[in-house]
Amino acid sequence: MISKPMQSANGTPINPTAPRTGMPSAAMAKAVAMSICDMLKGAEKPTHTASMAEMGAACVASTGSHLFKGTAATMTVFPVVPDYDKYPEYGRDLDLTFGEIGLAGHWMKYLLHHAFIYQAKLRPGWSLIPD
Amino acid sequence: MANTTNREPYQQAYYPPKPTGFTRFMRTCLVWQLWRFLVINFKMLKLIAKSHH
Repeated sequence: MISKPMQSANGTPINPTAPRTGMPSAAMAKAVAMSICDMLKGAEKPTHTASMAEMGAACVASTGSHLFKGTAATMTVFPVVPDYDKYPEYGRDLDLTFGEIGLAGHWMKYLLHHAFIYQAKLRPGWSLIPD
Repeated sequence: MANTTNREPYQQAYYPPKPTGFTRFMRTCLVWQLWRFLVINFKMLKLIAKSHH
């Protein structure tokens, strides 16, 4: 379960949904694409999986774009779906589940921005860049 | 809903904490942020390596 289903004070259900954008969606799309590739080559069923119980996610939200005075909120979570067997206290690896605001986040965002565009243009070595 | 008890208005404690001057300084301190940049990069690579996809 991604998170506990809740209800508002007047009874409206508040349910968790699977991510439709961002890093988990990208990981799922990559698994699907690689499976399609393998199936075109003869595999009988999908060869890759992308369980949210086994993947982490990161998000960098810009809060100012100056190279020295800008900041960004950086946050990561691992795994996306809490695993209380492996991490009994909170369901997540607390070393890889963190958030902070600072200039480092902006530098990160800047690099990610250019890395994504480099990959999208299929420039030399694009597939070696971690995504 | 019979078991709904959290009906009091918003209180100061519900708002996010206000950063101190030192915290705000550290957010753009070049030396500290360079170190945090390396730490965050390392953690992100670790996160990607641990993800099974």
